[in-house]
Amino acid sequence: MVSWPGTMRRLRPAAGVLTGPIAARTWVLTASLGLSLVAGTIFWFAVVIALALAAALSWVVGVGAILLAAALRLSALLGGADRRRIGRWYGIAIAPARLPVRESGGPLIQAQRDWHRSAAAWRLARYQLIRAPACAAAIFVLVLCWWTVIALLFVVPLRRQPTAPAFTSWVFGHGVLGAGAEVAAGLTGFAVLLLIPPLIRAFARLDAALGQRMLGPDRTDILVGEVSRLTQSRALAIDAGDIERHRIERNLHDGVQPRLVSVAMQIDRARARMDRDPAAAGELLRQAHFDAKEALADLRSIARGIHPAILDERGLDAALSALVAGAPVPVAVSVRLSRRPGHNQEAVAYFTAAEAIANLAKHASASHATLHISDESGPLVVTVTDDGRGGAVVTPGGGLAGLAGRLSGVDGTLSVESPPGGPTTVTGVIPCES
Amino acid sequence: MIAEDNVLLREGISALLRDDSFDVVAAVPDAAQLLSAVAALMPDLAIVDVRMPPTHSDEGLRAALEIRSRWPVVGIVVLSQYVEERYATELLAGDTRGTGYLLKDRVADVAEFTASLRRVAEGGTALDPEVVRQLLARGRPGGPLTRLTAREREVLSLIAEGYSNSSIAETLVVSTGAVEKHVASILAKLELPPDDRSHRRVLAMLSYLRDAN
Repeated sequence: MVSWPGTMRRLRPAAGVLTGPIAARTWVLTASLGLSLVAGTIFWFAVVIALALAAALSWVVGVGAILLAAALRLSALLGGADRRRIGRWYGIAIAPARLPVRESGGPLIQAQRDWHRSAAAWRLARYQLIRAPACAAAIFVLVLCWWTVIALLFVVPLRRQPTAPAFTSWVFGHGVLGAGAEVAAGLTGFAVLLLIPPLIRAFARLDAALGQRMLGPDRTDILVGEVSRLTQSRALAIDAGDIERHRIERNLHDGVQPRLVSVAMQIDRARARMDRDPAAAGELLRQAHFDAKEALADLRSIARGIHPAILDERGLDAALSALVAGAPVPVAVSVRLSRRPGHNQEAVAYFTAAEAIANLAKHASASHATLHISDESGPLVVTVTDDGRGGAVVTPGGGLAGLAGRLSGVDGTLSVESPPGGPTTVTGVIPCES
Repeated sequence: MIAEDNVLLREGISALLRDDSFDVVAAVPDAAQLLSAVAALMPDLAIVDVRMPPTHSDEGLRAALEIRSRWPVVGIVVLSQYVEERYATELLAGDTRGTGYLLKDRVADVAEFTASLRRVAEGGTALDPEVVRQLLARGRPGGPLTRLTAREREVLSLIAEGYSNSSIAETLVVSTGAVEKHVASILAKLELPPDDRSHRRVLAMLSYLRDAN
C-alpha cells in the first residue's frame, strides 16, 4: 500500500548511521511528529466533542442529525489539513477522498443523509480519533529513549562527582555504579542514541502511512478514477483511429479512384478508336499508362501513411531517415535507443514524428528542424524541434489533436511548446510496453 | 454540362463525350458555378459529382436537387464515389424523369455510360446496377421478391436501372413479347398496377423495393 518513490529523501533510510543523531532530517522529522501530535490532539478534541454533542442531542428530532453531519464535515475539513501536512512534510501527495457533494438545489436533508452514510467521511473521523493517541504513544517512546540516553551518557558520569547536581538524582536515583557497569551503561546509552533516528523515521513513516491509508480515496474510488481515465483515453484513441480512417478513405476516393477511372476510360476510348484512328488510340494508351503509374505511386504513399513496411523490416532509424528524406525542409535525425522498442511503440513514435514533420512543413515556414528519439530516461521520447514561426496550437479534429489521441491510446502524452516567433517543440512520450 | 472537381475526370469525361458527339457546353469545378452555368446555358443534361468543394460532403447532390426543382427540363446524372442509398433515395423521391444516379466507375465503360446519359437526357432514368442490386438483396426472406424467378429478377433489375422493354429485350437477347410477359408476371407477383409508361413503372418498382426493406 505504501510506496516510497515519490517521497522526500528524509523518509528514506539514512546513509550514515553515526551521523543520524545530528542530521538535520532527524530533527525535521521530530518536529513533524510533534506537529502531528499537537494538531492531532486539538483535532481529536474537536471531533470527539462534536460527536459527543451529536450523540447527546440525538433525542432532539433533527438536531442530532444536523450535528452528526456537521461533525463529519468537520472531520473532512481536518482531514484536508492533514493531507496538506503530510504532503508538505513528507512529500507524499494524497488525493482527496470522495465525499458527498450536495447537488445544487438538492434537499438539505438528502445532503445530510449522504454525509451520515458516507464511508469516506466516517473513515476521516476515525482517522482523527486514532491518530492523536498513536502519535502520543510514539512521542512517549521517543521521550523515553532520550531520557535513557541522557541518563546513561551524561548523568551517570556526573553522579561520580562528589558534588553532583541535585537534578541528577531525580533523573537517575541515588546509586553510583562501579567502573565496569559505567562503561556498559555508556555503551548502552550510545546504542540507544544511534537507534533514535531510525526509530523517528519509522514513526514518521507510520504517520504518513496512516494518513495515506485513511485520508485518501479508497480502493473503489481509485478504480473508478482509473476506469474513467482509461475510458477517456480509449475514446481519444478511437477518435484518432476514426480521423485516420477518414483520411485514408479520402485519399483513396479523391486520389486513386479518379485516376483508375480515368485509366479505364482512356483504355475504352482507345479501343473504340483502334481501327479508325490508331495514332489517337496510341496517345490515349500512353496517357492511360502514365495515369496507371501515378495511381500506383498514390497507392504506395497511402500505404506508407497506413503503415510503412520499412518500419517493420528495418526499424525506426531507417524508417525515420526515409521519412525525412521526403520532407521539404532539412531535418537532422538522431536516434538513441538501447534496444528495439515494441511494435506498437515503434509505430506510434513513427507517426508522432511523421505528423510533427508534416505539420512543420505545412505551417511553420521553418528552414531547419531536428528529430530526436531516445529511450534513455525509460519511456520512448520523440522530440521534433523547428526554427519556424511558432504559434502552433492543438485544435480539436486537427492533426496534433489526432496525434494526442493516438498517444493517449498507448498511455503516452503529447506536449507542444510553440511561443509566437518560435521555436516549436513537439514532444511525444510513449511508455514502455508492459 | 459537367460539374466535377477532379481535373483529370472533368477533362476525361469532356473528351469522351465529345468523342461520342455530345456537345459539352460547360465543365465546372464546384456547385455554385454549376448552378449559374445551368441558369445561363440551360443544357439538356448536367453531370454532377456528389462530393465537391468547399466541404466535400454532398453539395453536388444539393445542387442537383435544386436544379431539378428550378429547371425540371434539365436532365441530371449524379456521379458518386460509392453507393449511398440515402443519396439515391433523395434523388429519386418523387419524379424519376430525367434523373440518373451512377457510380463513378461506370464512366470507364464508355458505351454504357453514354447510353445511360442519352436515356436520361431523353427523360428516362439511369440507376446504377449496384444500387439496384443492394435494394434487391435486402428483400425480406419469404417476401414477394423471393417468389420471382431468376429471369424475372433480372428483368426487374433492368427496369429499376431504367431500361425500356426493347432495350431489356436486346440486353437479355429475347423477344420484346417475352419481356412484356415477364413484366406482367412481375407486376402481378408484386401486386403492382400494370402501367406501360416506363418512368411510372420505374417509380413503382423503386418505391416497392424501398418499402420492402
